[in-house]
Amino acid sequence: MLKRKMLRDIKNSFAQFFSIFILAAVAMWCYTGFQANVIGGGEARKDFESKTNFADGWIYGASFSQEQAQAVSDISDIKDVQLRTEVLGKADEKYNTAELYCYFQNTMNVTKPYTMKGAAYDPDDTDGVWLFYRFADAWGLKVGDSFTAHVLGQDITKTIRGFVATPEYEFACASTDADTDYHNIGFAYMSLSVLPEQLQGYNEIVFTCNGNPLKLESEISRALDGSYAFLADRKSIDGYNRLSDELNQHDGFSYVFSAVFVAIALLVIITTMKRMVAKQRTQIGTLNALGMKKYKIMLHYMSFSVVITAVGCLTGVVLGIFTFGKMMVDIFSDFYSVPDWHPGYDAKSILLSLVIVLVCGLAAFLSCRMILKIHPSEALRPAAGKTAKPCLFEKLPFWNKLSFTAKYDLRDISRSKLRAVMGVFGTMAGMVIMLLGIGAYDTVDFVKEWYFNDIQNYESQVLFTDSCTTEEAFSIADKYDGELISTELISIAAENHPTSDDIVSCKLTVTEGKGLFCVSDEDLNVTKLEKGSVALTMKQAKKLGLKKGDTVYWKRSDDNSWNESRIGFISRHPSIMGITMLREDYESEGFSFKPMMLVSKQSCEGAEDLTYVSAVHSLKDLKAAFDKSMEIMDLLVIFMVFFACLLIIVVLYNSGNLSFNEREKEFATLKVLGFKSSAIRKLISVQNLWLSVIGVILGIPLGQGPLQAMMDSNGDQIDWPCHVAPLTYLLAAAFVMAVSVIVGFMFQKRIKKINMTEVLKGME
Amino acid sequence: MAKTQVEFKDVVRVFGKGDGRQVAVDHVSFTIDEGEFVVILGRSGAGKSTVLNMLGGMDTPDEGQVIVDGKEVSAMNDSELSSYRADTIGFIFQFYNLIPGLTAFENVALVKDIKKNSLDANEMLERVGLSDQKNKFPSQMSGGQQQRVSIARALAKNPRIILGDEPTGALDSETGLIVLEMLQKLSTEEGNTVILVTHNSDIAKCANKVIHMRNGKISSVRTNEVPLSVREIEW
Repeated sequence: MLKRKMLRDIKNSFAQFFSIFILAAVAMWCYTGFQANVIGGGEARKDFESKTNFADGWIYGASFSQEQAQAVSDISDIKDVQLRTEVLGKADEKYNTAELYCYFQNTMNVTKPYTMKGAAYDPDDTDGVWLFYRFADAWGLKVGDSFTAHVLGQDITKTIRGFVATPEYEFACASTDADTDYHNIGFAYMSLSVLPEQLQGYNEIVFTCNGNPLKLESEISRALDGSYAFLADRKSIDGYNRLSDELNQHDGFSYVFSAVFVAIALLVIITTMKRMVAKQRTQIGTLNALGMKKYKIMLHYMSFSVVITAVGCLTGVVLGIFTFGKMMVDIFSDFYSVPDWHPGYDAKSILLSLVIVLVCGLAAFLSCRMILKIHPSEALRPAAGKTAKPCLFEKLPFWNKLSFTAKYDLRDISRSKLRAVMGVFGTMAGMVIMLLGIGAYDTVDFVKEWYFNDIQNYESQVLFTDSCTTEEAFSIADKYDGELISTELISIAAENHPTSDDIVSCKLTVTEGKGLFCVSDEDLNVTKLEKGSVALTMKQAKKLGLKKGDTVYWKRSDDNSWNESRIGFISRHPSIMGITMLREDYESEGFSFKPMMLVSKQSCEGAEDLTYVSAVHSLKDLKAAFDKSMEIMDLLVIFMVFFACLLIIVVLYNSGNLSFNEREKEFATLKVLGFKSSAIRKLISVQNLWLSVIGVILGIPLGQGPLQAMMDSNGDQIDWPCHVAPLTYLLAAAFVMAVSVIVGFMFQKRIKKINMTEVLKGME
Repeated sequence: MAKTQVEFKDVVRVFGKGDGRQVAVDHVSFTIDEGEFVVILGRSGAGKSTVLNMLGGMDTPDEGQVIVDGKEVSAMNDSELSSYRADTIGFIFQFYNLIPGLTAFENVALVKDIKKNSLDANEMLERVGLSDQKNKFPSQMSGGQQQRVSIARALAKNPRIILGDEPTGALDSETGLIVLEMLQKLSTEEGNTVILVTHNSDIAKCANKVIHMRNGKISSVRTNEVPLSVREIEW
């Protein structure tokens, strides 16, 4: 019978219980949606890494021998070792001379290419080539086609045997592109024997090991007699690490978002259950007087929250996997190259659901236990009216001048604090999520403006081929009155001769200091480089504990010696992390300046046909590519704005609904006295509006922190200062207010329908 | 000759449908003159509260007409009924129905938000002898005091008709007499029309007119030529 009572009670308080259902469902929807991507991606990657025996460590150097590889292999914690040659080459002209990373090896122990189509990679097959499947798809290549690569001065034409993938290229973007375009980036696996004998030197040892590969550096250094450039772990492989960062970000989101919704659900449960048991006080007393055990009555009231949250969580889990999760996986598996990536789920979803159900059950228990402590004979009588006393607001100097509505609402807030807290907290959380969503858009615009209008003070960008000579670069720079730039991979450290643990991989950018390619200081003001000093990016400086005036040590990837430079200022750049220095300082260290790019204020379209030019981009092209690369963010933004709206609507409606139910008798009295329905609606609207205003005000300063954390969770290779435009605050606040007002109107009908004659029958 | 203020013409009010159909008021007709002190008497379920609700503009008849001051209340729309309740009717409830979050003074003063030419709340509280309690909340007052605040609230609107649904029902005899005395004075000294619904036949002795109801119908309408004063009746 109690089950029937429960169902009827739920029906009678449908709005509140439906809110709890929605909040529990949304909490698990968010969680399982994000986790479907994280778990599915994690499982697919694990499988991918296992099948390819993906390397844990990379040792780069000028040349390695079989003996050195054996010496590394003899280190106790190292499992498998692979020698290979990695060279950046070009695809044939008919493939737009795309960047082609070529791997030559004669064994296949570590980071074995994963076959997507055709034959498996065979290092003994000297007539075949295995290509990155995304590149092959982009160009419509088929197994059996002939393919030519230009590498190490050789034109190598081979038959395509198969299409492959490796975890090193889960993410791939050509250095000439601002966004992934598989027409311009690829990789190829071939046999080492394909190269002429004099070029068959290994420049890489890749290995798998137990534990952290960087901890093995001293042993590796001893095994190689120190003759290697540097040791890297998976975190240094951008093609791999980018997805790790993305999945970590989503993992964090899954907990943060679900926690927000569960917190609101708890507040709703506490307020709803407290109100319900207070209303059913005499029923509880009757059940008790009839001899029903207290624990049974308690279980009955706990079952409301347990049943509703359990159904909500289950709905959320199913929806999460098959709607939001599937959508995330579809988008991300298209952007990243990981085979067999499907929405995943694990026992954690069920476990979290159980935790939510238990916590909500506990909240119901805490809300009901007070009433069960009352003696049955007492509980059989209606409770004494809620005692009222002067509220805090009455100390306001203008209290007596306030209207009836204001006084009435302020007193009501002070009498129903928990409901007010729920309204404020929910609106605040909604405001924060809304700011996160719209603020992400603002940040993109802000970074775009900063990047393309402040830092990139040029109109055209001319990228040179590897074969471009310094003379050719200088001549084109003269012609277009431009600035030459070179970039290369380096390792940096705070101490001389550090171990790999203390080394950060990043880029060295060398400029001519003509003011076309600029860097910003920490306050994002464009700052000139001083001769004799370098600029070090903020995130890397923080990581190494360096500041302005300190010395930074740096080493090129093809060099074994460490150089030192004084830090002139700490800089910021959205996507190029590391050191920026002037050409004359670079050359004074004894290095020859080899430009990779020319930037100019003039249009350089005429340079496209030059043999040593690989690409010419106008600022318009670069901006368009930037916009395209941001498309993946749209999903997250839409998601956040959607859930923020949902949260605000649920919370404000629920707050209004509770307020209506608690004051229905008072409203009826007011109606009998002659108050018009619109005046009574105003009482609900004004209170909701106040709570919204407080929520909005509290939410405004809380938006920046999580937004910056969200931007920072993209990893150390990106530095996006968050920015929320004033209009965004206004829009978000206006939305919250609009919902608040609309919710008020939603009660118009109910107010009109208040049955005044019932009130005249007296109190319950 | 006193002017007819309230007219019930063949009024019918039915609740429910089919098997659950219940005729609460069955072809009821009566008139009440201006300034009369009227008691509608009857047992529980006799239909007296339904009559009062229709008179107060809180319920509408299914058949017949309710006319007050020459206007047909039964034909008014929602907005007109609100104005009617605000301007013409002062209601006193059995359980006072004060707003718990407002003080005694504020409960009376809220009438200002309904009717611009309402009377001064302090004066009204003085009239019911509660000036010294005006800053107390309902929960800090006795039942009798709360009912007096309720009367002060009704009076503040300066209504032409005061309706009371068992206004002494929740009070002890002494407090009930005080409240009743107050209501009688409103009729005899202030000229207000006072209509009370009660099941207590003793109260009827103080009324000018007693309308007796049974099973939704009027069983008798009696006029007391010399109504007793409240202190004369035996409670």
